[in-house]
Amino acid sequence: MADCPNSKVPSEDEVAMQQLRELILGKNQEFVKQVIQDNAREMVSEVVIEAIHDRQNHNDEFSKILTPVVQKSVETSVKQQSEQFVGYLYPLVGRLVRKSVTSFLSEFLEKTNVLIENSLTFKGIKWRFKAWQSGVSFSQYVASQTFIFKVEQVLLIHRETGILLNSVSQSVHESADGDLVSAMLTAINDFVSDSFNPQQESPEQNLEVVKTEDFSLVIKRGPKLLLVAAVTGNIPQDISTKFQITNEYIHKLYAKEIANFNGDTMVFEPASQQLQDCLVAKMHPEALKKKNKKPIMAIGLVIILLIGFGFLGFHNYQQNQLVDQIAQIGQQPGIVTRNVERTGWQDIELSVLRDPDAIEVEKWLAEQHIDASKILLLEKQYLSLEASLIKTRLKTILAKYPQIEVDWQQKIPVLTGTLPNVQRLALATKIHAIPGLTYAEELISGIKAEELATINEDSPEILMALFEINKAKIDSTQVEFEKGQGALNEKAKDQLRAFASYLKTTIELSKKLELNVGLIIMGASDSSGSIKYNQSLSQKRALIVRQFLVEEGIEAQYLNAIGLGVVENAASGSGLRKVIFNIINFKTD
Amino acid sequence: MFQKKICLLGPSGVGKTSLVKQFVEGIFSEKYLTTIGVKIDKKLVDLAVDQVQLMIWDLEGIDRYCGFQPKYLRGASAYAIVTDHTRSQSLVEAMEIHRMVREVSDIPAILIINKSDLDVAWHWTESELNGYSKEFIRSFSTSAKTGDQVEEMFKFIAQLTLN
Repeated sequence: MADCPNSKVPSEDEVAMQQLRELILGKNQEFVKQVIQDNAREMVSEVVIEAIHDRQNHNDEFSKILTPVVQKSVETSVKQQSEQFVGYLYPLVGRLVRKSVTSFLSEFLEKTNVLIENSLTFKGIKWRFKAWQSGVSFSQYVASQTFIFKVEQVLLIHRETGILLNSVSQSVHESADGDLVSAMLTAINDFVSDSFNPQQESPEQNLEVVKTEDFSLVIKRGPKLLLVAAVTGNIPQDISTKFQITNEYIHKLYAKEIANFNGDTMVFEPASQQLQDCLVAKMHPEALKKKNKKPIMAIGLVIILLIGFGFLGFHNYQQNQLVDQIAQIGQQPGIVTRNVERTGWQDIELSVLRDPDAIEVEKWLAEQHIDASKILLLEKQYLSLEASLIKTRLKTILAKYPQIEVDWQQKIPVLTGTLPNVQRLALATKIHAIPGLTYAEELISGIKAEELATINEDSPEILMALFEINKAKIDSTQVEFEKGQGALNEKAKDQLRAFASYLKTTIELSKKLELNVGLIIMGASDSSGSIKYNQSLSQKRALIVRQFLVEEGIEAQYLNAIGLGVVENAASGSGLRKVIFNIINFKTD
Repeated sequence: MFQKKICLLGPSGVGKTSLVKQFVEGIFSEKYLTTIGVKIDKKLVDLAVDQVQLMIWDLEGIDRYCGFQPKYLRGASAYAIVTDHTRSQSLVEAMEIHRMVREVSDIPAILIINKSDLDVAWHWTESELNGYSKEFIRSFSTSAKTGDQVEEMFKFIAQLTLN
């Protein structure tokens, strides 16, 4: 207690020491601090890596601090320089994608090949039958035939609790519920070791292999963990040893996790790597040989499929091309396409409206080298007013008039030439009748009418027409007589002279036409006077006209005069004082 | 997710297997099937903060013909002693089993008085209550038939295994 006041009040020595310190180190050791600060960079740089390493080994805090910083900086870089990042990643991603596509394709081919071999070949069918016979699934049977042994599943089990820490298996869907298998296996082992312990002092009995008809469970025991492999076939010793070594290795690797195990199996996830190495298999030499073969079946199937699809595609393309080609018919004048569609594997239905003057569909198809037998044609007629069809119709008509020349170069065709009037009229009528033709008058105006005289060399049809016209003129001619007179007056004489010239022409025509004609000259009188008188008067009038015509140069053989007597005219009531004519064609059959 | 092993023990015919069946599959059968050895089931239990996969070891009923197998308890995180409240004898047997377990293990234990849907045959006396409440962390009165308190009981055990 006596020292207490001394401890509060510094002794002289202490004060001196303090002063000495300040002299050497500076106030608050500032000299030393200064030196350290001046060399801070060098000092830190020398030890920074080691310091980080030690700190990281000590605990994870360094990673925790660094992770957000790195994340942030990566995020910023990606945001600001996304182009460069894309550039860096592109070749990598491309390679990855290629690799994954390649592996997918080869796996697909392999699987398809196996499927075909197992389903379609004799061996496949035989195996299926045998598998059915022995009551196992086909895949199991195939495995037993293909593999000498195969590790189907590997389980890593915590020995004490029987909890499954990790498991890997050849196929995802076939693996058993590892959790329950592990627990039951532990329980069975407990049961065995309890039940078959011959002496209390002897070491605990443990299961090493559980064998069934199809597979065996190989159990490798470590101090804390069990490694259990489900194996089909007979496992060789070296593989069994491999399991033991793997188990030992995992013990070493996860010593800390095993010691601190509290039911959290997540920490054993990475052990999958080691367990995967235990999933080994050895194939029968036969099967191995086959394995090395290329998947010919699958490649064949793929090729056949490709050819099939190619053919289908090509056929489809061809048919579509054909449909397009056929649809072109709609561009022909006078044809309207209503529908073109494929109705079967090869058939095409073509439905059109067609003007009778347009090109025939079959003909058009032949011109296009299209096989008409595959085409179902539904045709309906209609009248087209297209200019080209109007021209066609005009051409058809003009073809009968070779003496007319046509200049088709103009917008409206120009017709030139000369035609007998009758023919010209007939042509005009025909041209007017062409539907949709609006320039009929202009067309006809180009054709000149020809005089009758120049018809000599005309065709029989035209001669006949002229004959008919003249005949009509003759038949309609009437020569008037004075009342009670049998002689011709001047007017009648003039009339008969003109008449004689027609008659001559007509007779000429009839000669050319080789007709046997005759003129009947019929005299008539009115009803005044006696019947007998009137009869003789009508006879007299006919004869006088005959006489006049003979004098005018008509050959008498063509002329026959008769008296008709009284010819009553009901309309006038006065009767006829006339001579009338009729050309008769005496047909010489 | 944690995986925890728990064990159900008790005399024969108290309904251990039925409790597990009710909890795991949600069904109850009147048929009595005696368990040979051990039957193991699993069920994922969602707790407030975590998930626990319970590996439930349903041990065969222990009676004078069939002894207690301490090996089955290895690595268990908790165990439950099941009794039948229509048979007072089952309680006596249960306490004997509990005593045997305590010789080999000190993991947490709970007491389940099953068949609560049937008429009661016995009650705790005051002194029994004081005596047993020290032995068990908690007791549940359950019915495997109606499902009453079954879920709660297993959830409690799941929570217990995490502590």
